[in-house]
Parts: sequence; structure tokens; C-alpha cells
Amino acid sequence: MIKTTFKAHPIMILRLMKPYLFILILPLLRALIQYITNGEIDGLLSLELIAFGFVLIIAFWGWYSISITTNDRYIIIRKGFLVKSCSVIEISRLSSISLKQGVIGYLFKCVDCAINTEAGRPQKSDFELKMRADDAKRLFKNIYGHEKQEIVKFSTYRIALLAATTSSAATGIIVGVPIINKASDLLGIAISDMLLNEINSVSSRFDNVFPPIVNTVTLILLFAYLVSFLISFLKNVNFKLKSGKKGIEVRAGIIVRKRTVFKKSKVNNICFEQTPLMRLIKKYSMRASIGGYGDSKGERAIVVPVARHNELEQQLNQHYPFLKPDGDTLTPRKTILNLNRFLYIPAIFALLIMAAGAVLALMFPYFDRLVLFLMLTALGIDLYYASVCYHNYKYGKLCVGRHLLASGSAGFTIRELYCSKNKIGVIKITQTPADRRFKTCKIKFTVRSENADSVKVKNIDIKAVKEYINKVFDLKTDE
Amino acid sequence: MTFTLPKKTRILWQTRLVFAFACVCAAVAFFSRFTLWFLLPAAIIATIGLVFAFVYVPFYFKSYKITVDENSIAITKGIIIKTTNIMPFPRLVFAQSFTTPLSQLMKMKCVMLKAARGWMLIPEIDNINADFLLDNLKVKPND
Repeated sequence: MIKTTFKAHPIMILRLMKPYLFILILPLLRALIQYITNGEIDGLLSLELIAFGFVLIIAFWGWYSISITTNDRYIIIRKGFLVKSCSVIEISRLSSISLKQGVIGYLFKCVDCAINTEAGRPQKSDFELKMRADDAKRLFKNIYGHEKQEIVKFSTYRIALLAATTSSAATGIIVGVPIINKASDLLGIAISDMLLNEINSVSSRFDNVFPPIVNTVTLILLFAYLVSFLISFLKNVNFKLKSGKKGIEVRAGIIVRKRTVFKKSKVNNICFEQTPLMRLIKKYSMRASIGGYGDSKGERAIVVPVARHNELEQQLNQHYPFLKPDGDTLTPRKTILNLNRFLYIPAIFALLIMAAGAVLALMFPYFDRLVLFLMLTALGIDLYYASVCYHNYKYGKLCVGRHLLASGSAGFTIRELYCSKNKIGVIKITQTPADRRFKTCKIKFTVRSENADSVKVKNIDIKAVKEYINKVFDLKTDE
Repeated sequence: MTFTLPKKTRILWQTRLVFAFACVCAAVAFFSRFTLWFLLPAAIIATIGLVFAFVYVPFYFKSYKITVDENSIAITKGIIIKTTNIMPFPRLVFAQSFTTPLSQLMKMKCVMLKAARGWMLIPEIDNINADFLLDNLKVKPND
């Protein structure tokens, strides 16, 4: 049993001091600059220097006390000098390890190492530290060994497609607005006002049927979408997938490079997903959901950015043969009556939208162009919803065996979920009055994990569903 | 194997509580220089602290019962409401031990067992017992 011990990179001292950046370090730097430039000493400088020295000593000891010890079965993480903690994790219980290297990391030859297990807090890594790049490589080798891996590369075009089809204006606003505000504060320039003025002047140049407010909002949304696209693109460009017999390694990023390794056995489920924009180009992306994975939104790692459905099926068979669905397939009955049952909700929505549009146009004739725009937008969304419903009618299916396949939708996203029966957390069967009349049901599978994936299959024969589920999960519910 | 918490755990927590309540009490009493009425809440806090440290804590820690068998670990605790937490070993993801300067001085460790979406805390026990427990847990999940 070879024991190897790794220490954290000295840059970890800076990271430990980060919480004091705004309250202590920046005021101290400002006071020192003031002293150098004006020759004036702030009255609090000596106190700040003492506090800085104290924080520096604490951070130094904090860094010194961090160690990671590995052997062939365990990983032991020690940290803290006043309150000491020692965590013993069995390697087979690790969900994933990811390494991230930014520009500063590249200069100092260090990486951000995140060690994840299923026991951590949702959307947070269990252990995060800065390590020397060479040590991180050795840690990877010690934990995951060295196996022959097949390398799959994806072109920049595909990454751009993924970024374009998964980006949203909301993300752009969430990320972009604080950056603009911080930059405005730092430079002392009202950048947001300048941007709004620019957007206003650009939008006023377009003379069309819609009022200027619509143009302004559209331009803001487009700008936010562009920000989101750039972030997503830079995060995923240079995407490489290395697949071995036991493990998967995903590498991505150009400015900040990220490398994530997880064992195939730790994959909870695989999802083929199609966002509304992907539907336009008839492509899907493949994601693996790993319990406790990462500090990002959810626990999903992109395995194949953008590809056609048959390509994804090939990739699934090649890299995850143990998730190939078996058992009998159930689909919604292909009758006109059943098609109507799938499409009646979007039809009702369409009528409601048109009625609301007509009423609003009569009530506020001055805003008729705005009402028309909003009505057309709502009808467009409803049309897309109708297409999702039609997809559920045509391609919705349920395959129940040792490994499950549920094809349906989650919100506006088309989703196919591949999962082992052992990883299923909750099965929810719902029957509306119409379902009871036609002896059908809606069934929702939720995977057991922190941020569980789920998919709903509609209007499937209730008797067959119960029979298969009882058989596969060895249950004794009424049939 | 069933074991209870050592007396040292009780003394450790009593020391911590007395110190914490004394700090709060001193902070409140500080304002008595403005009006003596502040001595009243200070006295109430001191009484609560003493009752908590010397009446509740001894009973609470005495109620702890830790049972470790081949398949699981169970902790029973509580004075009025008794609770039993059971963690099957296959569900255990990792174990963590904590020491503070005071507990280090008393040669004790606190052990936290983490499972997906849950955790279990064993208050400070002797270092030898904590290490024994950690070593046992190391072996069991894979058995």
C-alpha cells in the first residue's frame, strides 16, 4: 500500500485571504498608495497593518496544515490548525475530481482541485484547494490509475452550436449586470447609462411596426444572450472526451481550462436533451448526471456537445453499454383521439392568447402595436409547446427493464433518460379524469440524486405500466 | 458493540458553555454603566447558562448511546424526546474528525459521518476510540 502525501500550492494563502479582500486588503493597499503618492499616512494604517499581519499568519498556517494523503483505497484530507479536520474518503465513494486552471494558475503552475462525493452540499464541491499542477496529475493517477483511453474531439463549430443553443439572455443578465456595475464603480464611469443610451439610439434607428420599447428590450436581450453565448463558448471550447473502460475524462475551456474525471459506475443517468433552439437544427446533446458532481448548476457533465440522435445512440452504446435499455416498450396509442388529447392544451392556450390580445387591443388602442407584438410572441411560444406535445405523442415511450428508457419532455426541453433501475428514486403515476376514462396515465421518473433529473411520459396504458413496474421493481401494488 | 460518551465530553461542553454564556453575560453587564437595569438580563442569562451547563448537559450527554455492529451505526440520544439515528454502512460516503484546541488538550475528537443528503455527529470521544471507529468504518463499507 503506497502512501503519497500532497501539500497545497502556496497560492492557497491568497485564496484563504480572499474573504478579507474588500474589508482589509484593498483599504490597506489604498492607504499605502496614498502614503507613496501624497506622503500622508492614514490614521488607521498601523491598525490595518496589524490586522493584515494577523490574517496573513492565519492564512499561512491554514495553508501549511492542508494535506492530501492517498493510498490505493483511501484519500485522507487534513486541514485547519486551530479547528483541525481530517476526512477519510474511500476512493470508490468519490463521485468526481475536477481540475480547473485559469490564467493565474497557468502562470504559477497551480490548479483548482475540487473533490466531490455524493455527501456534499448541493451545487458545492466537498473539498476545494489549490494544488501544484504536477501534484494534481499524480493525484489523478493515484486515484484513477492509468488506463487506455479513447479520445473523442469535438469541433469548434459544434461547441459554438452548443453555446448558441443552450445560452439564455437571463444568464447573460445575471452574469453581465454585476460585472458592468463593478467596472462602473472601479472606473468611476456610468457604463450602464452609456450602454442604455447607445441601445436607445440604435433602437430608434429601426423604423418598423413595433414600438421603440420593443426594440430596446429586444436589443438588451440580444446583448445579454451574446454575453451568455461567449461565456458558454469559452467554457466549452477545446472540448475533449477521453473514455476508458472504467472512467471518463472531460476536458474543456481555453482561458480557464477544466478537467473532470469520474468513474462510469458513478453515473446516475444519461440524458439526451434538445433545447428549443436545438430543435430548429434537429440536434441533441448528451449529458451525464453524476451524484455530487461539481460546483456548477446541477450535477450534469456534458459528454457530447451537439450531435444527431443516431450519433448519440452510437456514443451511448460505445461508452455506456451498461445503460442500454432492455425490456418491453410502451408507447402512447397512435390514434386521432389520443393525438387530440396531446394537443388540446396548446389549442386552448392559443384561443386564450388570441382572446386576451383582442380584449387588450380594444381596451388600449394606443398600445395596439405592443399588444400585437406580445400576442405574436405568446403564440410563437404556444406553437413551440404544441410541437413538444406532438413530439411526445409521436416519440414518447417507456422501456422498463433492468435499464430504463423514458422519452418525453421536461418543460420545453425534449428529454430521453437512460438509467439503471437501481438509480431510480421516485416513480409518480398520475391519472386525470380523462386518463381514468381512457385507462391511461402519466408517469414521471425521478433519479435519486441531489439535483435529480426527471422525465414525464404521457398517456400510456395504465394496466401495462403497473404490470411492468411491479415485475421490474418486484412490487405488489394493485394492478 | 455499544458505548456511551466519556465524562470528559461533558466537562468539555460544560467549559465551552460556561465560557460562551460568560462572554454574553459580560457583554450585557457592560451596559450597566449606563443603567443598572442591564444587570437583570445579565443575571437571567447567567442563570440560564448555569442551568443549561450543569443540569441539562449532564443528562443530555448521559443519554447518548452509540451502537456499532457489522452493518450499521446507531446513535440514541435525548432526554424528553428520544431519537435514534441509524446509518447503514453501505450508505456512508465518508467520515470526518474534528479537533479544537480545547478538545486536543483533553485528547478527544469529534466524528462526523456523512451520507448522501444526511450526516451523523458523534460528539467528542477519546482519540483512541475515535481512531478505532474511523478504522472500523474504513473497512466496513466495502465488506
